[in-house]
Amino acid sequence: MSQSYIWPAQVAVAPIGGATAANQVLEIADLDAIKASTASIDTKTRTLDVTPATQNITVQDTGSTTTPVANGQNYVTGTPTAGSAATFNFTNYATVKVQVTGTWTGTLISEKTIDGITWLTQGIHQSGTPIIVASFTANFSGGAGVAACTGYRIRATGAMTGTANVKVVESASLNTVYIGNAVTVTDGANTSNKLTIKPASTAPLATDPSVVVAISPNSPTLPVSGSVTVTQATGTNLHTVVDSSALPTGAATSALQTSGNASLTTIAANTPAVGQALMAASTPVVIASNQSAVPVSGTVTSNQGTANATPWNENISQIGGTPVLAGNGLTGAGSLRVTIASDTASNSNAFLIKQGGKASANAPVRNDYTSVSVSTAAYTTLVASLTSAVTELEIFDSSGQTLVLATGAAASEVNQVIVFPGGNGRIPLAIAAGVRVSIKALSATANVGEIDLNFYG
Amino acid sequence: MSAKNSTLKTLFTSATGAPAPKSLATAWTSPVTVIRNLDDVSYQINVTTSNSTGTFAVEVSNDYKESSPTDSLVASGTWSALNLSGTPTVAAANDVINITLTSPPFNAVRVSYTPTVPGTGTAQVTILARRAGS
Repeated sequence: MSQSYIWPAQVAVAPIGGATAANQVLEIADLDAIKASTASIDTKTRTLDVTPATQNITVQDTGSTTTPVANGQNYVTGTPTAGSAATFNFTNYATVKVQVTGTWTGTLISEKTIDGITWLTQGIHQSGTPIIVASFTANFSGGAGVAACTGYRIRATGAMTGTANVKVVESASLNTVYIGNAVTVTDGANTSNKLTIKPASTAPLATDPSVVVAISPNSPTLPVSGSVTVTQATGTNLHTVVDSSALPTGAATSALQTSGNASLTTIAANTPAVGQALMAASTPVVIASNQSAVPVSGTVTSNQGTANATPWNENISQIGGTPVLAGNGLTGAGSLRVTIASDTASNSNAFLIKQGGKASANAPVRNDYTSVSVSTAAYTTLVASLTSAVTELEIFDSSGQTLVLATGAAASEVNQVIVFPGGNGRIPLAIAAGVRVSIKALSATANVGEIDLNFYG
Repeated sequence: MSAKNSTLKTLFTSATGAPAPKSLATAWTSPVTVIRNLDDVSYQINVTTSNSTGTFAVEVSNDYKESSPTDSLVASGTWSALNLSGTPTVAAANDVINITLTSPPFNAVRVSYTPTVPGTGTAQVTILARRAGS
């Protein structure tokens, strides 16, 4: 430093517009300030681009520490493992162009720093592409904005094989300009109308601002989905032309319709009118060989054909679903009832009736009243249970008393016939097999004589 | 021209005459130089400091009187500061201050110092006074 002063302190009368010491002092002060602020610019004007030496990456960084901070951002601090990062320190540069070559596998991350201590992820705009990423698994080249930064690096965050060669050029020129904030498109006349962008899955609202667009005449055919309503304004302004190429295979055509119509006309001509008609006017039909039974209702009239000439000789084996009994034999369900006509003439021929004898249905029974008396107080069992059905009884009784013959279980006897003193002889009386037969005195106790019964089936 | 027409002198010296810079911690005035017969005067002030601050002034007097030839003080005189083109200052840094007086029509001249921050600095004052043309 040095200072110079004079005496007398002359105030020169400068010519109008001439330089003065005071002005020069001020100018000197301004020039000094400009000089101080343009010192770095002066440096930059001399060296716009700087190309430091290429650095190689061969190992994964295990020395750095990653700490999550606000909104998904991460701070990377610490010293990277030797050989895991290609670091370039600088000041007053706006852009870094980076190119990674070599044969390697792994993951490389692009980072920058403001203070040389904390590193932040920095996306790289890959040259010739619209892609901006910060993580790479193959060789890449691009640019990144590093204004206000003091360093840039490529660091291996994954296991490495081979060698990645990192070349960087530091430049004062701008790289890709990023628009950090969302871009708003507004109506120039009314800035409150802003273009709304929504996901395709979100339905638009009637209040959403709309953008007036014109479809280019060079646009390709636009597909339309959903229902489309077409209104014919006049009687002739809407025409539909379908050529054969537009119809699917098997589609109806005019020619096919004409042929079909001809067939329908023939069918109509050959179809008789509804209702009964003569055979000549009827459509012949064939009953299927496996036609199921067709129910017939109402009265069915069947003719024999030529009267009496060909009498029906159909054999009838059933009447009412019951087989008909014919010939000699016992009666049964199929026997036909015959009524002798009231005006039947007498038969002069001998009419033989064979009267068959009655077979014994059960073992005959004898009760000696001197051994087993029968009182008027209770029934005495003669047969506990008939082995066969009975149709006729033969009774002899020598007790001199009147008795009653009953059937049924003890205490449930049902009187059937009164046994006369001396007996009844043969009387018809039907008793089923398994029934109990008993007697009880009516006049007085029978205690002399006996009663004998024969059973006939 | 003869050397008798100029005076070159280091103002602060020790008793043995060796230069002895003056402290800037307190106010002081330098030894007086009579310039009655001389035309131009210049002071060179060498400041050595890193922490002292203050201001210098050049003072003149016409009623300062020394007896001749012994130069002993007769009258201390009345002193007033000249209006220089600026105020020489000490700004806590080493410095060299030059003060030029062209044809001062005064009898005697001296330098004064007024500290702002005392500090530990020093200053040495050298004067050259000469007759015009020498």
